Amino acid sequence: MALFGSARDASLLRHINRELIYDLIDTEIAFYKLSLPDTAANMYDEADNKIYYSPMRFNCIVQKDDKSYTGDDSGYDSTRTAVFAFHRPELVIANIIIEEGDIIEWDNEFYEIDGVGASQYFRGINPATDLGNNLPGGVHVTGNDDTRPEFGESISVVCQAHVTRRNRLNIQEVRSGVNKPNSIPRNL
Amino acid sequence: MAKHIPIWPGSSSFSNGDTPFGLYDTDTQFDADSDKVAEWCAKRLGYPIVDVELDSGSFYAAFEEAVSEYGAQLNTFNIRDNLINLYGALNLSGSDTNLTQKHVSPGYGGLIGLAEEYGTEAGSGGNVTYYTGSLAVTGSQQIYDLTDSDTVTLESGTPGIDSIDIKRIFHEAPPAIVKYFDPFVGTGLGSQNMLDGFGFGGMSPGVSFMMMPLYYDVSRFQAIEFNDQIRKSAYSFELVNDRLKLFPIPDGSNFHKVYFTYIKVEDRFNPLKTTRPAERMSDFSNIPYEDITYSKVNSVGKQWIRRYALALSKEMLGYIRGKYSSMPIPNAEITLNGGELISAAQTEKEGLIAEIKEILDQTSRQAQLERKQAESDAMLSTFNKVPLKIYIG
Repeated sequence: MALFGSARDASLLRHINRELIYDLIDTEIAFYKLSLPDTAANMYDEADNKIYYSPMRFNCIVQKDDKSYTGDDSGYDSTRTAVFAFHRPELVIANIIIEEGDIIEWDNEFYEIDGVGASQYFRGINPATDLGNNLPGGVHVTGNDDTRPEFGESISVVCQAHVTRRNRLNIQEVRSGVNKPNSIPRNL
Repeated sequence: MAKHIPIWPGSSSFSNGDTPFGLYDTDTQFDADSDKVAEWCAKRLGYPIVDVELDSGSFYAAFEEAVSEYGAQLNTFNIRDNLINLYGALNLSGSDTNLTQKHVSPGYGGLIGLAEEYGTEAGSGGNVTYYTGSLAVTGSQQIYDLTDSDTVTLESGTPGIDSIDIKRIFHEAPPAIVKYFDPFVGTGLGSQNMLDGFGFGGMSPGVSFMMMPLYYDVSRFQAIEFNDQIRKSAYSFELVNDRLKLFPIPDGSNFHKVYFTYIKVEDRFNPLKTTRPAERMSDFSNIPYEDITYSKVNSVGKQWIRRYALALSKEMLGYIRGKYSSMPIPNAEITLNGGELISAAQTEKEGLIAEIKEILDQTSRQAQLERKQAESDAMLSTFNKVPLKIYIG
């Protein structure tokens, strides 16, 4: 049985992360979950008109990269990538699963999530998949009963994202009048 | 399901049994102060600006330990200051079995107890019994074996079996006073005293007295003693191991027995000389100083206790934050201030202990007497500088 990384220690870690992310850093984003039932797909399973759920506010640690520019015969274009690192226990409480294609609004930009990873574990153990904890009554190769209490913690959900054009999102009204930052999505 | 361990929520409610030892839980003032100390410590550690990863039980434990540490320092000082007065005393009984926070009257009991050892060897008391023994002497034999049970009689023990230590041998010339009224004893050119010294004098027929001045008597004593010392064979002996050598050599008529006092060597090594030794205060460990009563501690002591509780809380928080050298946060790692907290707390603890020790040392009986003496000297010096009136007759 592991000596370090018990559920008690994981609880301490959650307290510290929560305090750090929500009280000290306090960077807030709006998360738009893609509504698959409401999004019509064509025969190629592509959707031109995506529909998102109402935004949810979460705190996370953002690592924003510089803009990159590309130029061709059509003219110049720019994009930006960023990494959004969420405290996973908060997502569990909110019952949210972040997936590719979801949108994050932050710093007056909309980021489409390209990749999601949740492989940062406290003491290298994810309690949700830990066999020692999830298979009670199991017998270790040593012959000893290997059942044990919960250890470790899945700490984060890290999202790789890029800035996307907001006129494709149907979240804000664009090309008409003046942009209204943080306006209510029109598709609600 | 993830376990949730609560941390300090901002307030607490103390109840009996919340401390690890429960030493002061029934003290209403301790009860009332526990929550206040917890809140104060949490605020001093940064709450509510930052979270404090302790719970009320942590603060209560620190508070209890701080009171106990204060009591331990106080009791240690009092035991040290009063040990000489309590050493050897019978354990207290009845309702008054605890000396904590009570005035202890100084006495000579312990001091005399220590002095008894010296008294034993000096022959002026002590706690080892002096016995009397005698040696039967015979004519023309100068050397005697004190282990010989045929010639030696002991009040306690058996010659040759029990080891004894001779403390005094009564083998000396009769004092001058016994010769003072002997009409045959003369001084100066007379030969009577010489005859008496050899056993031929000492016959006293009718004696007439005449009132004389005291200095005359003293002069006569001195004359007799000088006479014995110069003209006669002095009484003497030599004791080496078990052999006693007497002088003058007994002739069978001048003396028949030599008395002596002795102690049994085993008595000297008996460590439990007092009665009921198991019921007496013997050392630092059984002087009856118990846990202090918190409500009797004055404001100075309570402030020390609060500061020590804070140092303990800080140390605890340091250990908690320092269990892992780095803590993972989403997509990164951070290092908490555990090491700094532990270091600061230990410095504070050492400072507080040094402070209370210094204060207590300054209030010892010895220190107070020295201070009183200094005050007296200073006062005398001041009075000496007051101008005196010049008397004009």
